[in-house]
Amino acid sequence: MFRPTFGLCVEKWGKRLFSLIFIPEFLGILKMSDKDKRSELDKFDTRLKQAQDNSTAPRGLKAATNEPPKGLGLALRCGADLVSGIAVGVAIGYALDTFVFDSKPWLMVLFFFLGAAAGIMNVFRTVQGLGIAAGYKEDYIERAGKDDNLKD
Amino acid sequence: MSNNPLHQFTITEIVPVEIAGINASFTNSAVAMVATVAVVSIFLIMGMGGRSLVPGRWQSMAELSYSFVADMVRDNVGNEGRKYFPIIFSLFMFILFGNFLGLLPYSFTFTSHVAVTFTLAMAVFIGVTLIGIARHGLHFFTFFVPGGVPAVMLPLLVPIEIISYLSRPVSLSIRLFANMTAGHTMMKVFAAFIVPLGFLGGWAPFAVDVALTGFEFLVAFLQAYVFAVLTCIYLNDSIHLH
Repeated sequence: MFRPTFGLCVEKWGKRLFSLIFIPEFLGILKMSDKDKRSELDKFDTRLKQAQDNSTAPRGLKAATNEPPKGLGLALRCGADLVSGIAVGVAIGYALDTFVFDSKPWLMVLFFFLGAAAGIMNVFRTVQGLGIAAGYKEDYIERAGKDDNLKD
Repeated sequence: MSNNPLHQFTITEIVPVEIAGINASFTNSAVAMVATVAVVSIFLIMGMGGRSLVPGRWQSMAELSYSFVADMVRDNVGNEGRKYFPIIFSLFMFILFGNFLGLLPYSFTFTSHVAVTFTLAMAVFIGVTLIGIARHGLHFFTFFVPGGVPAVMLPLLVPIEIISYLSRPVSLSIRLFANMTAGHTMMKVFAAFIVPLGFLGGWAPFAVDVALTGFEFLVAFLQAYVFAVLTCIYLNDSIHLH
């Protein structure tokens, strides 16, 4: 038969008193067995270590720029990219026509198509996740080797 | 006409100033910008005033915005980007709070003017280009020559790359301006239907407006984020030139 010893009694009532005095968050910890406490602390330790590593480690570039943006962000970026390429192309062509060569409208027509190509290239790069940079040399070569979509 | 949905974007002069024939008046747009700078300063300076180890609500909001941008810079530019954190953080907070304050009724959204957004985008563009040239010298201009391309194609591809590069500030500014203008116009258009449709019919546009308000908050944050993230990507391109 189990008879509570004096020591156990003190521990039990001590815990109750403790939980009454201190804030309710402590209750959860007090009710835990020692094993639970241990694992909870371990979890906290690993999380703390992770956070510390994250903040101190010399973090270089993550692959973030190589991931295509998703959802609404992608939609908002693509439209403006496409239009701005055409707009800049036409503006350059028009300016050259008017102020430099007096060859209206031929350069504007030429630069309209170049601008359209630039706009489509902007969108293509955004979607491929190359950033929208001009001249990503290494990425071009790497991807052309790996990515079948680019060959097709 | 007060029902005009574009009336909200009118610039009015508050203190007329003219310097050498150039109209440099203090306008309602300038008031909104000053208010934004003031609110951002109050938010950050007073939020961090306590400097407590365990942050309160206000302080953790200020810390959150700091670490959000710090992580963004570190992920997209790497450690060399730390130098440029202040300008990116300022840009982000300026645009974010400008967008949010513009959502208050009777306020003015200065990001809905292409003059403002294009100035910001041009500042980023010129700065990033100068950083690239300063770090890489003439080697920077190999940026416009795509790799792995036969030489015959270069006369066609180099102009395309240059146009693509020049279109960056345009797309950066158009995106922000167009999103803010379109959202605010749409809200005004639906709001103008509420009273004329009467007590029975007015609920439909009212519900749309409620949904749009929530959507506008999302767009306000997203546009500030996109602007900052693209600034980081451009900076990364000119720092880590391949």
